[in-house]
Amino acid sequence: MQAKLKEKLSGHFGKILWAQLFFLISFLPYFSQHPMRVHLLCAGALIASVFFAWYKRHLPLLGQILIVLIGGGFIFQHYQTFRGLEPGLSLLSFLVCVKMLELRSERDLFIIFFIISTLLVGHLLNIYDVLGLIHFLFCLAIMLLMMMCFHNKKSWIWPKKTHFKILGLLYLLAIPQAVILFIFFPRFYVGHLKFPSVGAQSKLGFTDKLRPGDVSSVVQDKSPIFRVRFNSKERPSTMDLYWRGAVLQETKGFNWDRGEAHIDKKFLEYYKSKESEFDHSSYKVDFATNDVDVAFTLRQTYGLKGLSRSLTNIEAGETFSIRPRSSQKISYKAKSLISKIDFPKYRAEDLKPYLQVPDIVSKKLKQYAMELRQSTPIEAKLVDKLMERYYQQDFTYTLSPGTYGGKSPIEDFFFERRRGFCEHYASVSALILRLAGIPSRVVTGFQGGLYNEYADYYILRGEDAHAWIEVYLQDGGWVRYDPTSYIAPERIELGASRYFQGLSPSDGSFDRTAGINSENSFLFKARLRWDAWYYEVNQFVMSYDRESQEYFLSQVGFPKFSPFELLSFTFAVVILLSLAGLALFSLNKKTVSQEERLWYKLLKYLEIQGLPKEPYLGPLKYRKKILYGLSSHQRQESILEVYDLLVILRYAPHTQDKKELISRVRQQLRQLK
Amino acid sequence: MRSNRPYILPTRHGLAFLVALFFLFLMALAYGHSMAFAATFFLTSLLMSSALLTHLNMKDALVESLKVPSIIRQDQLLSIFVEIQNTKNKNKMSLSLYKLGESKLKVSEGIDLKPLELKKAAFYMEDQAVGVHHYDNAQLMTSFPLGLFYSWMKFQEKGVFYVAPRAINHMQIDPQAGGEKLNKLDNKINSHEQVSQEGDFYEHRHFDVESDSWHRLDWKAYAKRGIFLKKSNASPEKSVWVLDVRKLESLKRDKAYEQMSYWIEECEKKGHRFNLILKKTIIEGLEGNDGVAKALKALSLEAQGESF
Repeated sequence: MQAKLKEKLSGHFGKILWAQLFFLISFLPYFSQHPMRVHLLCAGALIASVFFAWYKRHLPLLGQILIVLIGGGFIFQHYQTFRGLEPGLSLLSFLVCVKMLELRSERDLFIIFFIISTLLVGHLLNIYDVLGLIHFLFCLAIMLLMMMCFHNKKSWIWPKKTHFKILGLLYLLAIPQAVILFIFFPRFYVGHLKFPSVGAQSKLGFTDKLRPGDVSSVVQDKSPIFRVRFNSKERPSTMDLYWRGAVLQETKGFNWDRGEAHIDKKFLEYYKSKESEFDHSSYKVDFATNDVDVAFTLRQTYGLKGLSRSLTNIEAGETFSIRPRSSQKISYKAKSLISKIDFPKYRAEDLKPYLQVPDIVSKKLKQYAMELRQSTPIEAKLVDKLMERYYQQDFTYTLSPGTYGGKSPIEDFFFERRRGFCEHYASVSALILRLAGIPSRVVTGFQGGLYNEYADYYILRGEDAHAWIEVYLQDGGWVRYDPTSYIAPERIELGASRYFQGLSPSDGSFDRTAGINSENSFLFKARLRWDAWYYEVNQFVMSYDRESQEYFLSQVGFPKFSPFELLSFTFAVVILLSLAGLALFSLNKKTVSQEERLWYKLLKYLEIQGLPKEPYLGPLKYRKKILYGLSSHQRQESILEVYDLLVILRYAPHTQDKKELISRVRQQLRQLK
Repeated sequence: MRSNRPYILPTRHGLAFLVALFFLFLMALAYGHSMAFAATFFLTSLLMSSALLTHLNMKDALVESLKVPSIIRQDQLLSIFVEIQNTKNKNKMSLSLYKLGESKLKVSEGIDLKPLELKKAAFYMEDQAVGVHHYDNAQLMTSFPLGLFYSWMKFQEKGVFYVAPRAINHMQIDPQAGGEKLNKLDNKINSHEQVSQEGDFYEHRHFDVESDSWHRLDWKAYAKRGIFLKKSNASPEKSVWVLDVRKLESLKRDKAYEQMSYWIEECEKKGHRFNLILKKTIIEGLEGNDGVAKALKALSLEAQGESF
């Protein structure tokens, strides 16, 4: 049995197993990106290929076509298209598994390798992550090893030391060239090439609508959503770090939607014109997920530029959406004015959508809003009064407020239970202010962020998700108000990370020191260091566009080149590097001289004649051995003649007529044979 | 193309790889996708490095000697024995003999050479056309390490080999029935076997102007019959077979030569002496390995359309 298994492993069956192993290594990290039906289809095809290989059978062509059609149909049914990276990758994964069913020759194996490499590159483009790049390099190394082992061989052989050496050499030669090309190759702007674009679908849950519990469910997630680095050394204060995602205008009580509000694009020019007068900050945002199509920005943003030719759109309420060309992770740069500036007044009709109230609002709430309206004619004071009510009347900020149902859930929340999360407070505040005749809207996004001092950037995680309101004041334009800052000021002041560390889930009490202590732990610092490294590498590799290139080259002392000069320079460096490599391999190695070659030839001949040269034998003793070892006198003479000539050539290398001697030896050796 | 100099080109797999890289590069340019740039540049560098290693794997390898059998039948593998020398102190992997003249060899596992090693290896050629094949060079090839490039080097090696027709018995008869048993009494035209006055048996054989000594020429026979013959001692018991292609007119040309090849093989197996009569050539008194080789050469030339 063992012998049979060994025989099978070294043959066709072994090939299948190795190819499958390689496929699994390259596919598993991206397992979650494919639907369950793709997993099942792939698993089925892989198991079938093992079965066929074990029993040395082949699936007929018709069967293969049927399998491809059925599998392709299932995949199409899931995505409703074959266009785009994700359906393409699912289909390719399935096709690799089907190809295993007909793996026979080296050609098939190369095709499988080719499809898997395409898959790897596809996933790499999708994941847009430096860890993905490391995985890609690892898989590539396995593939190259397998290619070397299968090369010209009918059966699988285990990688030998030489194969590993060659692999190392390949990487050693390739990496410097790749780095040089990556750094110096000019990033041309060729925006006219029309490639299909696939938009990422928003899956964050609260970027185009808000339902009670949406934000609190995102808050449970501690994984990073995006990272931000400010270019200027002076970062905005924590109180200004409100990352606006979506402005929600249409309300049905606690439920808010984007609705159809007027989109005004004039603000971009206006803010840009104020750049010189007011404090502004420029920053770069890198998403850690490719599920979002909303660009989170600070207020008064202009100059938003998506990297990798991402498409940006202006949405209602001075917000932005961003769509990558392929479905990779999003990165963008933006500028925002930090100081609050006035904006030309809105027309009454443009503000109308921000005064919409649902029919279900109770009389009690309307009554409260009317009283609020009558209490002061100054809008700002009116809003302050509402906010003051939150801390005066013992409202509780909690992640688990329970559900608000019944006929008047808002009334129940605002007048009775008074327990809620940011989304509840924002929804109710905006609604009350609308009832009081003040245009207002709910804004969802993130607040604060964990500052990583090791690399000077903020990490915005799920727990930083937040909702607040913006109110239109006749004398101040749209002004931000955050009800949470009145109920749980520590959430804003300390940030979500420290706040939730100190919050007791049982009684809702808050321990200010708990969060700070946990941030001093070794583990926390190590995680920040790792994240800083990861961020820095990602920054360099993922965001290396034309601007970054110009900046980097100027920092390392390069003069300003035109793209074509840079291109020529890059090629010159790569060619020089290749020539240097070639020279290194060619010059610094011992080459066998002609006389040495002839000497080895004679030794080989004598070995065949039963007269091997032991290492301890010198030329004279070996001559004696030949003299006494050969029976045929004639042959003895001719061998010794060649031997003597070679000894002269070998031990008296400056002999005259060397060429003639060599040609004589060669001739006599030929005769000997 | 110069001898002893390595040349390099991409294989089909290498070309496919290049095309894929080109598309990846276009995508990187169009989308300004950093990861696509990184992948393109790394794969390009890998491709270049692979080309460099393939080239170095070929460089400094030498064909020291090459032995090709002078004659084979068409259905036989032509075994070519080569001595390859690695003149560098670096391992060389998967070197194989790729071409002999213009004829491609059978794809086989290449040989690995240790530093400075001289190794003998056999490579094979199959399905060659019947006839004479001249070659003036041999090509050594490698596509190691990745099979994306192949590098080759020409070596000056002159020679010739003959490919005779396959040995197939199309007539399904015994060679004795097809070949005619020579009898010194009943065949006067072809009978060159005579008894000397002293009673010694000798026979007349075809005189080869190039290789036979003029001293052996039978001048009397030349005077009587006007043809060059030589005397050769012969035993009276040994029968001589006449393999005559003219008797195979019922068969197509190729099959007739295959039948002749079969009879030659039979004569070789049974140790018969035989005369070969082809359309343009008559060779008499063939025997042993030399005789068979001579007959097969004549047959291959005749089958190709050249006379011997």
